[in-house]
Amino acid sequence: MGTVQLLGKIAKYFVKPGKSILAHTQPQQAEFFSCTMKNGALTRETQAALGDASLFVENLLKTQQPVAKQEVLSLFDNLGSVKQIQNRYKGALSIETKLLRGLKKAENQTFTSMNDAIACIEDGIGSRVITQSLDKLSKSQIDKMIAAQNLSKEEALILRKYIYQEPIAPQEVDKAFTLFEEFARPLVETRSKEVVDQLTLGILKNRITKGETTLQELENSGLFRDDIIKRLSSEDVLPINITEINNYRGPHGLAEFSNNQIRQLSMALGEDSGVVIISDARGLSGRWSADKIEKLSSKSIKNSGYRTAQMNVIHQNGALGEIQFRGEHTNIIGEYEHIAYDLRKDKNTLGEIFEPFSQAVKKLSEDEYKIYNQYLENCYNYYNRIELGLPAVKPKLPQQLPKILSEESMKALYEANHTLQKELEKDFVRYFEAA
Amino acid sequence: MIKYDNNINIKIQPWTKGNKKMDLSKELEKIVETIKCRVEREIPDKGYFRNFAENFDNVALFIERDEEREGRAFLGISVLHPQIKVDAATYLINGDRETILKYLQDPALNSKLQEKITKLSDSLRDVR
Repeated sequence: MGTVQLLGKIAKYFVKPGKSILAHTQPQQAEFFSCTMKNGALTRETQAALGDASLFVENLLKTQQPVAKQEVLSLFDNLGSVKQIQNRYKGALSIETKLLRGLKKAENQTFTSMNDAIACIEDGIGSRVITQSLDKLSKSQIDKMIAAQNLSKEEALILRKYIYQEPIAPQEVDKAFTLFEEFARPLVETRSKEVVDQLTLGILKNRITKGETTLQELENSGLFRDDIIKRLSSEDVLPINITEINNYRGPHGLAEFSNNQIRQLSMALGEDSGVVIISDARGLSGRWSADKIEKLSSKSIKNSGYRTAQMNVIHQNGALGEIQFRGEHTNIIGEYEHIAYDLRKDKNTLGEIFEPFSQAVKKLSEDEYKIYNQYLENCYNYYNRIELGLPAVKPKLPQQLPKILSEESMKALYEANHTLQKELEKDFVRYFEAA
Repeated sequence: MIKYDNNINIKIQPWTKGNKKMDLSKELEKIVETIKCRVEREIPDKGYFRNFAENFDNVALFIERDEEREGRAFLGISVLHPQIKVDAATYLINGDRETILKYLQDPALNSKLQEKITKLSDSLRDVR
C-alpha cells in the first residue's frame, strides 16, 4: 500500500527488513509530543506516539553522532594501549523498546514532552574503546610474579594451580581466586592505565571548567599522583562529563578496571558529583562486614561472566551516550554472550537463524542454566586470560548441554546472522504498511 | 543499572540504633579516636600494611594503602545505603602517617565529618 493512502493514519513502519514499529504516517511536531499509558495499558495511539518519538530520537542521535564520535576519538584514539574505537547511534527499534520501559516507570506513566523521551535513551550514542592485549608471560615471569606476592608455601601452591588451571579442591576455589586477583592486578592495571588516566584527566578538567574545583585545590589535596597534576596543567586536556560508572565482571572474573583504578576515578569525580559507581567492593578496605560487602558487590557481578567497564556520559554537544571499555577478545564474545540471557528473559529480537539455539536455551532447566552460565563465564575468563598474557585453556561445553549452545556455535550463528542482515539491508528502503 | 527516581523517598538515617537516635558527634569521636590509634600503630614508614576501617551503623572511616606512593595512605569516609547495594564514599586526604594524624587531630574535624555524612546520605537518597 502506498504512503499517500495512509496519510494521517497509524501504520506499520518498517525500519529494518522484517522489523517494524507502529507510527503515524504524519506525526505531529515534536514540540507538541506527549504520551501516556492508560491504566497501565498501551493503546494503539500511545504505541504510535512512541513510534514517532523513536524516529525523532533516532534522527536526533544521527545528527549528534559525528561530534560525539569525534570527542571519543580525541580522548582515546591517540593512546598506545587502545586498539580500536567503535561508535554507533541507537536505532529506532531499540529506542522504542527502551521508551516503552521508560514510559512504564515514568511519573503517571506519562511523557509530557519529547525531552522526557530523549532522557530515557541514556546510551543513545554508544562508543566502545577496545584495548590491546598484553604480551604472553613466560613461565619464569609468572614465577617471579608469584614470588613477589610473599605468600606462604601452601598459598603459593594454590595460586600456581589456579594460574595454570590445574584441578583445585572446590572448597579452595574462592581462596585461590582471591590470591589470583591480587596476583593479576598489576596486569589489569597495566592494560587499563592509559584509559583510566585519560578518564581521570577528563573528569578533573570537566570539574575545573565548571568551576567546581581548581588546579591548586587538586594539587593541595594530595589525592592525585604528581604526573596527573602535571599533565592537567601542561596538556590540552579534553573534559568528559560522566554520570554513572559500572565495572562489571563475573563471579570468578577480573574486572576491566581494578579497585585502585575505580578509586582514582571516584576521587576525580569528587564528593558532590552524585555519580553512582557500581563496582566490586571486596578488597577495597575493611569498610564493611563480609555480608555487607557481598551485598554491595553483587550488583557489579554478572553470572554469565559479562565483563565491561561502562559509563554513561553527557557529550559536549549534549548527546547522551555510553562508553564501554573492553579487551579485544572479550569484546567479541560480548557481542553474542548476552543472547542466551535475552532469550531467557523473552527479549527475542533475533532473526530466524537463531531459532534452534533459542529453543535449546528455553528448554534448559534452572540448574542447567546455572551450569551454562558457568561455562559462559569460563569462556569470558579464557579470553581475558589471553588479553592479560596468562596461561589459558579453552573451556569445553559441559556434556549434558546441547552442542548448539557452545561458544563456537554462538559465534557462528552470530556471524551468519550478521552477514545475512547486512545482505538484506543493502537495498532496503524504509516503508509504511497498513496495520 | 541504578536509575534515579525522585518519587521514591528512601529514609536514610545512618545514625540510628534501633529506634534510638544516636549522638552522631559522639559516635564519630569514638571512631576517630580508634582510627587515630590504628594509624599510629599500623601505617609504617615503608612497606605493606593492610587496609582498615572503623565503623558505626552504616558509616565507616577507612584507611586504604596508596599502592603508587610508598608509605602513604588515603583516609576516607563512607556511608552505606540501608537497603540498596551501594555505598557512597569520599576521600578526605592522602599522605603519610604524620599527615593523616595531623588531619585527624583537627578540632574542626568532627563537624566536617558530620557535614560529609549528611552529603553522602543525601547522595544516596535518590538511588534505587
